[in-house]
Parts: sequence; structure tokens; C-alpha cells
Amino acid sequence: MQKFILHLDMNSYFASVEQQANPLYRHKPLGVCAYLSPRGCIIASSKEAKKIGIKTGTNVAEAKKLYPNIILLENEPAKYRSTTTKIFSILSDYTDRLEPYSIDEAFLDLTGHIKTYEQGEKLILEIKQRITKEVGDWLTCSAGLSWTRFLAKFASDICRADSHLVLDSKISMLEKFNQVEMTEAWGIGKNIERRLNQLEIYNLIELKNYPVANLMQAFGKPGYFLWANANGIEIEGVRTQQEIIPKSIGHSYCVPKQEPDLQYIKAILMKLCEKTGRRLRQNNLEAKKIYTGYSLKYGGGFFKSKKISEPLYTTEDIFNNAWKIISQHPPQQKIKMIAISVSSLGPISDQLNMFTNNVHKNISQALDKINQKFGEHTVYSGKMWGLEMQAKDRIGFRKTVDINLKEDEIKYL
Amino acid sequence: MPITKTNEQIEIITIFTINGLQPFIFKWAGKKFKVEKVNLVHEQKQGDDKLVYFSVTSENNYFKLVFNTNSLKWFIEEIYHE
Repeated sequence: MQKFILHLDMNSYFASVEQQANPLYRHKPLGVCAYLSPRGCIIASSKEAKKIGIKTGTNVAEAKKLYPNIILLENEPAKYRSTTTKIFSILSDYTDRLEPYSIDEAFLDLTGHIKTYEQGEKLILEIKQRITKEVGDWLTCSAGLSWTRFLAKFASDICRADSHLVLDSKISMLEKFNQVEMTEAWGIGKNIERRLNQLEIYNLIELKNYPVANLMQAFGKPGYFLWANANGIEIEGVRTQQEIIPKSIGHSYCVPKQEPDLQYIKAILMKLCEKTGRRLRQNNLEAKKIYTGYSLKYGGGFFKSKKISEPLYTTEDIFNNAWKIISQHPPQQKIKMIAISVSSLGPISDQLNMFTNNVHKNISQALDKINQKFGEHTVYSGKMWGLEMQAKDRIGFRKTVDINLKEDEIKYL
Repeated sequence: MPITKTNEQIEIITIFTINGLQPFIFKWAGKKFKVEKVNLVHEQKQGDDKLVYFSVTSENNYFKLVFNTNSLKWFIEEIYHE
């Protein structure tokens, strides 16, 4: 059966949502920041800001130098998540195989729902109209339609904002491959490009024609993925949220207090472990590997990963293991960032350990329910005392998002 | 930047449309404002409360109105005027 995969990518998303909310911000350079301090980074800029060189990653001080009248707003995660829920709810009207890829991107498997690419194009226009009408008239998106996930995203990445591109055959695929740099393709950054250049591969057509065995020898399994993508061969297909197990779950935080104060680091680490643990438990997962550390203000840092024999589930377990690693290598200079992540994830095993019981697991679940109902930080470890305003809620750029697709309209009464 | 953050309770008339509850006319700083357009609606949980935010425009001003679904009260959270 002919496959039809659609990729949708909202344009300048956070900035567009802010301009949607407040029309007085429209047509003006605007940046959404993680923090508004001079070192704070712009995490999304409006198309007007991009035109004058203010892009994602520009810090507040630099942005103000480039354009003193730039509008800078601190991000509001709830606003963007809520808007994404509405958008994805529209998308879920068209297929049950919807993969939320990030806060502003999704894949739709339209196989069986449409029969031709022409029908697909009509559907794209219908979806765009519905987003405009039902969510916000300032919100636009780019869309790509093809027969594999890679080609659909490639198409949406290379087309202009508020437009769409259909790659319906190998001929149209090759035509586009000829027109773009390799690094414009999903999954090929500067490092991969450099390594491909070492094999005398300089464009996507050469990648497509390169012997797959040689690519695998150079890159291992990822070499096959590179080759398959360039040859229009589907690797994994669209996976729904229920089918995706994340590879890792973690959090990091750029600390405002940079002195190597161990008590402060311990408290921040506890908060990051609590956030990590919550997401782990929310996904009904446990972890068998931990990775933690810190980066230093003037360069360098310390990071270590460790396999854990007993699966990690409770915040306490995650914290105890993370703290053991960091306390054995405490920083001696000013720090910039602290991070924690857990990996080797799998479904919770209900098997009881001979030496422990499920009391701590049950307590963790109960505390999660309380914090879920009454708000974050309702009940928390004493180690986190005074840290309400630190390591706040932020939108990650992770590839899976916890979007509730069952809410198809706002229920507020 | 001409944006003011506040958290004042307001008096408001609302209507129920095909899109659900919508703010219609509210009173702030001794003046009545008729909502010309609701630009964005979003929700957030705050403790046990569910808050619904309406970003609206009226007479070339932008207002962020908040409806607390527990207390059934309305507030102004942001005002932006050029």
C-alpha cells in the first residue's frame, strides 16, 4: 500500500504564540527568552527578529545591541503547551497514528486515510485553515508530505514558512536533493557532514548512491539509517505517543549562584532529580543508568554515567545515586550548569527486591498525586527548601511531548 | 516596554458562544472596555485551581484576563497599551 506521511512544523512557534495573544507585538522583532537577565538566551524569535540576525541562541545583551527596541518576553510554558494541545487535537481528527515530535512538530501517518498526493495537499490546506480559524489567525506552519518520515520532515524543513512541499516520487526527491546542502537534511549536522566528506560524500545524491556496507563500516548502524533515508526507505514509521519509550529523561539548570557551594548544589540537584523522577513515574518507567555532573563557568566540567543494579524509580534513589557521583568530585571553581538524566528505561517491574519492599515506591506515587492535584512544590523534600523560583518549569526540546490528545476542546466549567 | 503586570479582580459581563465562555465587557481603572477580539485562550493549573486565560484586545489595548474556575472570579493579569 502506498504510504503517506505528513510532517507539520509550526513557524517561529513561541514567538508566534505571543504575537497571536497580543496583536500589538505583531510585525515587530520579538524574542522569547528562558530568562530575561543579560545572559539569558532567546529560545524563539519572531520572523521579524530573524531578519535582523536575532536567532535562537542569541543572548539578551547581544539582542539589545542588535536592536535596542526588541520586545523580549520570558517564556510561558503553559501558554505554549495549551496551544499545542489544541493544534494536536485538530491533527488527531485526521489519523489515529499521530506522533508528537516536539512542542511544535508532529508526524501524521495518513496511509489509508488518503489515496493520492493531491488529496494530501487538500488535507494540508484544510489543516492550516483550521489552525488559523480554531487556534489563532497569526499561527502558521510548514508542511511536508512524502512516503517516509525522513522525506516528509526534509520537505517541511526546506520549504518556506507558511507553505508546503510534496515529494511524491524519487524524481521529485532527487530534484530537491540537488538543490540543498547536506546539512539541511534531518540528522546531518556539521559533524556528520565532516565525516561524510572524509568518505568523499559531498551531497545527498552521493550519499544515496554510496555503498551501504561501506557506510556501515564507517558509521556502524547509523550508517544504514543515513543510507536508507537518502534512498527513500522507511526505517521506523510514525509511532504514536503510547508506542514511544524515551531513550532518556533528564533536566539541567544554568545556576544563578555560581560559587561552588555544595549545599546549594545539593539542593538544586534534588530539585532536578524530583522533576526527573516525576516524569519517569508519569511514564510508568524505571531506569538502570544515571548520568550527572556540572559544567564550569570558565570552561570544562565533570560528567559521569553509571549503571545501577537496582532500577531507579523514586526521587530519593535518583538523588542518592547522583549525589554520590557529584560529592566524590565536587567543583573547585565557579559552576555554570548542573544536569541529571536517567536512561536504559523500561516498564516498571513489579518484582519485589528481597531486601526492600514497595513502600518507597508507593510513597513516591502518593506524593506525585498530591503535587499533581495541588501544584508543584506542595510537598517536597526539605533539601529543596527556598528553591521555588529556581529550576522552574521550562519547555524542553525533547522529541516526545506529554500532550493530552484526549482534550479536544477547552473544558473550563 | 508599556506592559503592566497586575492581579486585580474585575467586574465583567460574559457571554456563552459556540466557542464556549467569552469575556464581553469588563470594568478596569474606572472605565468600561468592550472586548473586540479574543486572540488566544489557554489554561494552566495553579495548585488545585484551574485558570483560564483570555488574551483580548479592546480600543488598541491588550489585556490578559484570567478566570479562576474554582472561585468563579475574574482578574486582570496584564495590560499593554501603546
